[in-house]
Amino acid sequence: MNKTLSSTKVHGIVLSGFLFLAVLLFYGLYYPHHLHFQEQFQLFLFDGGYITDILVNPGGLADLVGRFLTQFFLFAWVGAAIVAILFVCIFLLCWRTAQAGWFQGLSLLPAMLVWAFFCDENALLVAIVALLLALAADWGVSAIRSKRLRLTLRIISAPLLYWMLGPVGIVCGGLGLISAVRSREKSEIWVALVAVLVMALMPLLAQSITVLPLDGLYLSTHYHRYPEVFPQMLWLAAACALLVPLFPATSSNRILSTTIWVLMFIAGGWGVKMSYNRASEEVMSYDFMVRFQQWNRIVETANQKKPNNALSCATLNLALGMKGELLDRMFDYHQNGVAGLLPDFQRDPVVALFGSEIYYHLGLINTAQRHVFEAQEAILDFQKSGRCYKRLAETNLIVGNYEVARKYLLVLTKTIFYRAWAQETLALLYNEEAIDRHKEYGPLRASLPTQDSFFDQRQMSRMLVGLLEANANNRLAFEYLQAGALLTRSR
Amino acid sequence: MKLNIRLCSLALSIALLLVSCAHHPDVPASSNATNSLPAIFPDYCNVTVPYNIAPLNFMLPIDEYSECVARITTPDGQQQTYGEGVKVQIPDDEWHNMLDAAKGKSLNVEVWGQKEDQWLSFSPFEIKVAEDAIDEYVSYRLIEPTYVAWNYMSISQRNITTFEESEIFNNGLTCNDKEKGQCINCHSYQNYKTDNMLFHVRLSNAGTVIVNDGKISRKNLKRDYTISSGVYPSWHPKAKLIAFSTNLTRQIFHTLNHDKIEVFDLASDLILYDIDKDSVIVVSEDPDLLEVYPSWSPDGQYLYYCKTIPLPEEMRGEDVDIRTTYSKIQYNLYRRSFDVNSYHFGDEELVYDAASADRSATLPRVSPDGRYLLFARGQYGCFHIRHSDGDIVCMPLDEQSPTELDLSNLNSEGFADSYPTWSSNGRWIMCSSRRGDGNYSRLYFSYFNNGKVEKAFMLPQEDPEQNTYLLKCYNRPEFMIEPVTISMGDFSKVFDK
Repeated sequence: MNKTLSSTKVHGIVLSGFLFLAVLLFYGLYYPHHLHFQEQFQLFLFDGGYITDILVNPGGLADLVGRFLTQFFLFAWVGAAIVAILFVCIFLLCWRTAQAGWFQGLSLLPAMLVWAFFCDENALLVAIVALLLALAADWGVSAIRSKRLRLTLRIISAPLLYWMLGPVGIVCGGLGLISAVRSREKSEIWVALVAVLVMALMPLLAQSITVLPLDGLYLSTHYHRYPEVFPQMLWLAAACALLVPLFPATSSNRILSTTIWVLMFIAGGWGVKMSYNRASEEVMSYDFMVRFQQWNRIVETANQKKPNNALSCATLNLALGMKGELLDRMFDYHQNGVAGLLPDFQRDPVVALFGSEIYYHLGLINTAQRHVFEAQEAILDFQKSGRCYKRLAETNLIVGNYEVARKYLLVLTKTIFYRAWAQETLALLYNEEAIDRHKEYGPLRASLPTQDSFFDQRQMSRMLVGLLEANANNRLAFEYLQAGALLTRSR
Repeated sequence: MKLNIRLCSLALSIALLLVSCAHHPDVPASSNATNSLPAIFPDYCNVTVPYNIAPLNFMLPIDEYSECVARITTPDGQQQTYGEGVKVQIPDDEWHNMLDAAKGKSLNVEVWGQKEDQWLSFSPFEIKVAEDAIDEYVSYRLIEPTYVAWNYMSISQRNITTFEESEIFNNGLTCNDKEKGQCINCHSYQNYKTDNMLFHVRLSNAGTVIVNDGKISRKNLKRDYTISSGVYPSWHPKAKLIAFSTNLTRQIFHTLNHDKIEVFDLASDLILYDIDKDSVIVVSEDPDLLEVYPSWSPDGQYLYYCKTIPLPEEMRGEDVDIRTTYSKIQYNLYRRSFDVNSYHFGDEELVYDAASADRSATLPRVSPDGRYLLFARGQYGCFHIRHSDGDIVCMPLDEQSPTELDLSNLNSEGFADSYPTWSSNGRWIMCSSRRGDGNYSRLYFSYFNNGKVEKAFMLPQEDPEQNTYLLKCYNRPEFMIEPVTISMGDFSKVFDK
């Protein structure tokens, strides 16, 4: 059954537009902090060595593009638009493989599954880019009219696609095999089979070259921040992308077609809803607000819905403290004991970052530096963090370790969004007057303890007293000291 | 077809030629004399280098200068200029030719720098070329200056006559529990050769990887009667024996001190591991004192180590907080004779009484000719790479009242210098130092000639700026006379999947 060109185009535009809007609004309005979370635990550098180190590994091109795009997640709406475009492209590339008729609606499923996958804050954009490029590669090769050239490209691209996209690149081979079988041409079928076989064996070759674990090379080359996690939603999406062209063409039936489209949206939407993590989005929102010192916004957010998560409570207490309202208002909200003031250190990037913020504003700069360093070291996929480097530069600047601060600032000059700040801050190095006059660093420097001691979570009151002895104007230390006493007594 | 091949070859040759061409700029026609040495990085002014070292590439500060020209003159009058931007990067072959011509003598280096459109000339300096070679390889762990958590780390080796570096092992290959993580450390070699070597793996997939005559195995050195598995190693130079310390190590963190971290042992003892028998013998396990850092003499007849002095009575006991006593923990250097046939250790002899000078000595290394003892020293404790007062000390062993040698050309002022080690010919000392910025350690080498120590130079890099950008520390540097040839794949075979 031939598709009517103009109605197909209209369908495509409408469906794409609908999907784009849905994804954009979802990430822009309901899930923006998951994007911020992604951005803060990686750092894309415009540096030859950095780029080469990524490209030489299996899945390198997808990894590089994924990391490049992720840096824009610093701005949630931009990130949402990028994600929406990627999902729409996946949809359209699957749609092109679908036969005309009722089952076209199934082409929406891979995009919806990828959407559900990306609701996990540890699912990386790399995976989506890899799947998209695999689909695009099939489209590109299929479009070649010359049979000889097309078959040659199928073979040559097999190992290249694995190395550039990782194991999900096999989708291109799979689609090539499906269209070869459909063509019933022996040469096409044989070539497609060889291409799939080559892709299936590439991980073995990759292991002999890179010595990376074989299961990762087969299932996930940096598709997920936890290397041992099997990205099942991603592979489900890939499998669906291969299934879509297998459904036969049918006669035109608008009601059936529309029903299946709607069902796919509903099913996909349900999958997204099941994957959507409201609790972690809330914690991430507090993390974002504390990162950018949005104290009023933190309190307003808490007024709308009182946080009962330890990290969110700690952030709220910090915000109240920074506004000088901690003692007056802390019991208007749920309190988590002393741990709600100063969370226990954990070897976890999220918890350590929260702790770092609190100690930073208190004036325990060495401790803030340790927490932020630990946070970065705890990132499971060995990436670096723009947020962490920024805080490391600041803490080293405040305590006068200028050459160490310079190292971190020089790294940040190789980024798009941290470069300007890094260049401004480089000018502060060794400029004691300018640092003392700085509206943030000056007061923090003045709040440094005058007596060294060892950090001990169990002796926070002693450390807070030490801060007050160093600087009686350290209002936050005073509020925390009093709040700690109140919380201890209230138990 | 033949023409195509020829054209391709020609194109390739031209491309290679262009890539390999060093930039030989003209010396500035006029310049203002500064009458001072150039502030080059790394500081290679008036250093002494081995005749087989890689090019000493350097640069002028990029935020002050826009161009740099260096002219190097060999003793026989040959001259060449180098400089591209602010960097001076000398091709391998040209550099080694210059070193050959200057062996036993000096290269003369003149530097010009362009600052705000004006050329400045600096006082010339020398690079003395020793007649003694340096071991071609060093290995080290590359690790962030971490606290508790750690990221990617590797044990890497570098050919220091070139810029080639490769990984021996890393903690991404066999870590089967990413949340637990994996730490690799304490690489160690027998007699500077790599057919017998080891390194530790902690936490995920833990064990000690031992290469014994080229055969790899992974061992668990923990026994019921030891406080831990083997930690700091030292291979006996002649027998299949390794001395280890066993340690219960902790860290605490300063709130103000720039030294940031205190590393200390709650308990430490010494053990001897027999590789062929897979047996562990306790060498010493004083319940009240801490013994650590075993190190064999080159003839294998003595085991040197560090041991604490007893704390004052009021500071002893389980209830005493280490935070109040850590700065009183000081180590002296001792040795015990060893009979390799009977495995019998003699009585303990005090080699260096650091405590009476209110100091603490660690990491002893006897020179290959047995005449000198290198060690690290600080005011207290056992981890001087974390102490800004950490310095390297060298003293003769064959004197009744040994006088410390002058190591002011090796040590830095106000920054941690630690982990000293000798080259196999005893002519070069290598140490790890945080002198660059107080945080990221780099490797430094000094020429040691009959008790005299020359100015230290930093491990050269192809791009001198790499020393600034690299956010890793060079940890536990060791000399080797040959590379580790076992592949990472072969090492990984002894681990669980």
